Amino acid sequence: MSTVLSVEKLSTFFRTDKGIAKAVENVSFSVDKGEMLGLIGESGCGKTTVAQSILRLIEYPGKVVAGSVYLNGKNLLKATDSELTGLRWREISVIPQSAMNALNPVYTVGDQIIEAILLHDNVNKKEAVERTKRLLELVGIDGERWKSYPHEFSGGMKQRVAIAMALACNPKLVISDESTTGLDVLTQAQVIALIKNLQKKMNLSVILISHDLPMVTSICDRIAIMYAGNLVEWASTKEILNDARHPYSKALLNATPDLSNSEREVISIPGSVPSLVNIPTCCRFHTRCPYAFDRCRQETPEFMEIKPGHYVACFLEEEQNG
Amino acid sequence: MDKSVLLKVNHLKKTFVKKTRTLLKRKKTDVFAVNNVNFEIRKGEILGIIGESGCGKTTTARMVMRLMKETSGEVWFDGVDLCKLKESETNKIRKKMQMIFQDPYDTLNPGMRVVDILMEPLNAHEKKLEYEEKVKLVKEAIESIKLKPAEDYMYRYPHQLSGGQRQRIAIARAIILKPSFIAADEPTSMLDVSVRAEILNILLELRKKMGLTMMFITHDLSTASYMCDRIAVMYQGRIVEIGPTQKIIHVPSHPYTKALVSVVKDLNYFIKNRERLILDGEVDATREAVGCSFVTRCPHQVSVCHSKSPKVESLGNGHEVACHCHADLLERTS
Repeated sequence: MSTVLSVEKLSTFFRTDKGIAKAVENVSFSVDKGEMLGLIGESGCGKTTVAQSILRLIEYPGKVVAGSVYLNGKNLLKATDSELTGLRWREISVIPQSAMNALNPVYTVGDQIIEAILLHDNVNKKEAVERTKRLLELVGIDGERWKSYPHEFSGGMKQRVAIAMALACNPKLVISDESTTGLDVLTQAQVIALIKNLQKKMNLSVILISHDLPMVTSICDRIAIMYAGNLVEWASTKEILNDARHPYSKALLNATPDLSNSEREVISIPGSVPSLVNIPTCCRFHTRCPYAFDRCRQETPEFMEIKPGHYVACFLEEEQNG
Repeated sequence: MDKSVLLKVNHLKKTFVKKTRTLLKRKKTDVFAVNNVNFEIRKGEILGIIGESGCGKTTTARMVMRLMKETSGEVWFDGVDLCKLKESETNKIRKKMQMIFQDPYDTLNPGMRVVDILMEPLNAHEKKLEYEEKVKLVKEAIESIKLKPAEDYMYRYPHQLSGGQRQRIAIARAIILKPSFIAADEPTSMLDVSVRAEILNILLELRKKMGLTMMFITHDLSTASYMCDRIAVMYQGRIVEIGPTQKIIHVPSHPYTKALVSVVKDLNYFIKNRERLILDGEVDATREAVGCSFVTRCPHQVSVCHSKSPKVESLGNGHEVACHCHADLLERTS
C-alpha cells in the first residue's frame, strides 16, 4: 500500500513566559492510502498541535522546530505559501473540532462551501452550486438546503455540513479533529458511520483525532497513542487491544469501562500530566508509571519497532529484548 | 410506603414556556421537559438515569433536589413529600440530600480556598460546632476522597487544583454533612479517561462506607453499567425503560434503548463486529404530547404509536418498558 502522509520526528515548541513548552516532540507516524488512523490521548497531549503542524497552521509563539511532513512525497514544511494554498482543500482538508463555531453564521452554508470550491478549483459558479448540492446529498442533507443558514440546522447536521465542506475539493487526506465531541451518543454514531462510509467509498485516508478510545477502536485500522507531547505507541487496532506494550496504553485500556464486562474494575492512572514547560530529558510518563526505573528519569526512550508495524517508546521493551 | 425505599417520585412534570414573537403576534408554546416521570430508589442503591442532552435528566434531578419547582407531581424522600414543604423545612432536608454537579470548573468559587468551600455547608447546617471541630471534619472529608495529606490541599485555591482534584473537592463538599442521598449530575463527563475512573471508584467506595443512596446521571451507557444497580432510560422527558442494569444491557426492550446499546462504545466492538442500529431523524421538544414521543425516529412504529402514548408495562424483575410494540420486537429477535 502506498503511503499518503508520513510524519518524521516532528517537534513543535511554544514560547511561553516561563520557558519553552515542548508541545510535540519527536513524533513519527504515517498514513496509508485508504487507511483510517486514530490519534488519541488526553486533553493537552498535543493531538491538535500535531494536526496544525501538518497543516502548517502553527503561528507565533509556536514553531515547528524540527522534523518533516511528506504528503505524497512533497515536504509540507518546506512548501511556499502559494504551494500550500494549492495543497489545502485539494490534497488535505480538515473537519474542525466544533462545527457550530466553524461555520460563519451570517453566510448560508452553501455560500461557504461554494467559496472554498471557487477559490481552489477552476470551475464556474454554476458548477460549484451543483457540486455543493451533490456534496450535501452525499452527507444525507437535502441538496436544496444549500440556501439555509447554519442556525437552521441541528448540531449533527452542522457537523455533516462541515464534513461535506471538507470533501469539497476531493482531498486525499482528511483530518477530523474531535469532530464528534459534544454530540449526543446517537448523533455521534450517525456522524462516525458517515465518515467511515465516505472513507470507504472515496478511498480516503483519514486521521481521526479523539480522546475516546472505544470509539476509535471501533472504526480505525491503526491507532497512535500520544502522551504529553510524545507518541508512545503506534500499531494496528488489534495489536493495541490484545497486546498493548506501553504502560500508558495499558493503563488507558484499564481505565475505560467496558459494557460487555461491567464486573471488571476500572483502574485510574495515579498522578497527573506533567507540565510541558522546560520538561527535562526523561520518559514523560515516568511520574505515573508503576514500572519506572532510574533510566526512565534520565533518558528519553527511542520510538522503535518491536514487531512488524508495532512501534513503542519504552525502556522496558529494550531491556526485555536485550 | 415501603421502608426500604428512600426516594419515590410520582407523576413528576415540568413544563417550560417558550415565547416566540413575530411582528404582530406573540405566541406561547409549552415545552414538556419532564413528562410524568415515576421511579423509586431503594436505600443503598445507585439508580442511573441515561439519555441524550435535553431529555430532562438534569431537570428531574433539580426537581428532586428542590432546586427547581415542579409543575405537578410528588417527590417522597424518607416518608416526606418534599413538594409540600415550606422553604424553611426544605432547608433542613437539604442536609440529607446533596448534589454533585457536572462542571468542576464552574461549581467551585475561584475566590475561596478549599477549606472555605468545604466549611460553607457546615456553617449553614452545623452552626453549633466549634471552629476546630469543623476543621477536623473538613480534613476527614478531604482524606476520604483520597487527597492525602489533607493539609496540602486545604489552603489551595481551585485554580491550583487539576480537574480531577476539583471534582473530588466537589464530592467532599457533598458528603461533608454525611447525607443519605446524593444526586450526581454527569460528574465525569468533563474529565479525561484516566481521571474519570478514579472519580467513579471514589463514589463506589463512599457508597460502601457511608451507605449512600445515589442517583447517577450520565449519557454514557458503559459508565452507567459500571456504576449502577438499576438504569432508567429517558427520552424527551419520559422514562421509556427502567430495570436492572444487566437486563437493560442484555435484553433491552424499547427501540430507543436498543439503539443506545447497539451504538455504545465498547472496547471489544472491533473484535465482535456487532451490527449498529443507527437512527435517523431529530428530536423536537415542542412536539405535542400525542402518541409515543419516540415515534419520529422509531424504526418499528405502527399506527397506534402516532395516536396513543404507550403505557408502562412490567416485564418482571422490576424491568419496565413503555412501548406499544415491545412484545412483537421480543418475538422477532428470539
